[in-house]
Amino acid sequence: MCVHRNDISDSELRDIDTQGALRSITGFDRDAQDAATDLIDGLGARGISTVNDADALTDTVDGLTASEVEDLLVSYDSYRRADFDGARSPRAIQDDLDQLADPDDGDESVDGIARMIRERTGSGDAGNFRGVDGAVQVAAEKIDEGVDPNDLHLERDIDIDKRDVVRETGLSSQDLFKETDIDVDVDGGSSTEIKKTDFEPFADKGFANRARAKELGDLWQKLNTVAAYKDSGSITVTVSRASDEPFSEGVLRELRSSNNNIETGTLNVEDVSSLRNLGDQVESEFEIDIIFRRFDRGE
Amino acid sequence: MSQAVFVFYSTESRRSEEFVRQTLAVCESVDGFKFGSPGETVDPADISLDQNSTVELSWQGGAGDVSITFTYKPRPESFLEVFTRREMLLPEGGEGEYEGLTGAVMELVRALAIEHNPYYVMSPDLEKIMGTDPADVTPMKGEFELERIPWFGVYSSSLIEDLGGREHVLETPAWRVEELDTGSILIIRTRTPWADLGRDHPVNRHLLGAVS
Repeated sequence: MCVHRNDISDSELRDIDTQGALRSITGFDRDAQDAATDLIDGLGARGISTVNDADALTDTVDGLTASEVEDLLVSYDSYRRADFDGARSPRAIQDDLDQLADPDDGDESVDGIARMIRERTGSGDAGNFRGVDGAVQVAAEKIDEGVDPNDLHLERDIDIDKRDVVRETGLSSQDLFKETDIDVDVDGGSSTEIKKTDFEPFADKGFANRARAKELGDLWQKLNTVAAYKDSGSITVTVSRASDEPFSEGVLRELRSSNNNIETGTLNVEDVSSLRNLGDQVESEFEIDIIFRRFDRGE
Repeated sequence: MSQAVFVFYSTESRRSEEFVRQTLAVCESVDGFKFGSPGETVDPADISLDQNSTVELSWQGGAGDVSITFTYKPRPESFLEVFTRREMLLPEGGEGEYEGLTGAVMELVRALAIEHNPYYVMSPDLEKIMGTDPADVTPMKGEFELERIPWFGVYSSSLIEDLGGREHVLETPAWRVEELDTGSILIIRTRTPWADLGRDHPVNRHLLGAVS
């Protein structure tokens, strides 16, 4: 695990608001106090600025409470310790959140920041925070690319009428969710689903293969649901594997099995050996592009 | 949507009609679940199960589902697996007993462990967190030796002896330590699932010794 103590130099101390951080920490609950001091211990000056900036989000993000900021800090700390493949530092995530909270000096914050933090922090499960890391990075990139912040939505809840979709397509009810969310959505434009997983089992064990096959079944249903909702444009899926890399045999065996209740609906599982194949089958039903984007470690 | 799984191990095969019926009866006994997907009604008497067959349970208190997969095999394979979506296991509140779906899933796993008295039950973190290999808590082949204490575990008498004896195991500094009626001991390291799986966690040090 790459968790290092980070001493703060005299020059750094002159440039950062240590008193502000101290005031913030004093007001936090016990878990957030522990997380904040761990962040400062681990990241030094960048830890102090991260704590300060996170605390300031309640001033700029509509509906974000002090309690949710405390949950965010706990997640920062557990996420840093988990050290997932492809994970960025809390400082980098906070930089993106700062941009999304105040996209053009004085503009309203991007829709959904409070909702995303509420739904993806607080449990202490570092794995759940990967979606935040990916979503804020993608959303900040959208703004850099010129997307109007007012058109951007994080953790957007959507629902569809499955009967309508089944009637108008060759899909079945088992190919769709009734409700889901879109991690990053642009009005009239692209949607992004953050996976940051490689769909590889840790070993060729039955339950590990079944877990990954279930996740692929979920991805198939989610892509169809979002495609039906959007009707056009593109869906980008961020993953930690090449889109044309074949899945392991054990995962494919489970995906193709007919007696394990993995929801694959009308997916032609015999034609699926990679993410690209799965995306192709979504594209064949909808006027939408499915793009797989690979997150590499440290990116 | 990542998966969470509770895996049940035995030293002998559990394949029998009675085993299936006992399992379904336990599922029925836990408040809040019903057989089948949401909107579907399934009579447990109509469920027939072959190798790797799965029974679906839907949560009546809101979104949430659980699936039970029958695999029947002896260690190092499993005889039963309980799957749910990882994001569904969200303990509410900062402390105290599990409630809602998380509480119901835990009660289901606990009840199945009491009914079937397995050699070992564990819930590995299937995500690739650096330094916490799921293989450390999973019987891989041959003799099984725990390399790390999983977030959730049920340990039968033979494993309890390997971990230092009953008295020592019952003194584990974990969020939850419970001796079941079967004599097995249930240990949950932290209230938050998979919150701290490091080797230097007090639970790990207590049961497996100092970090080398």
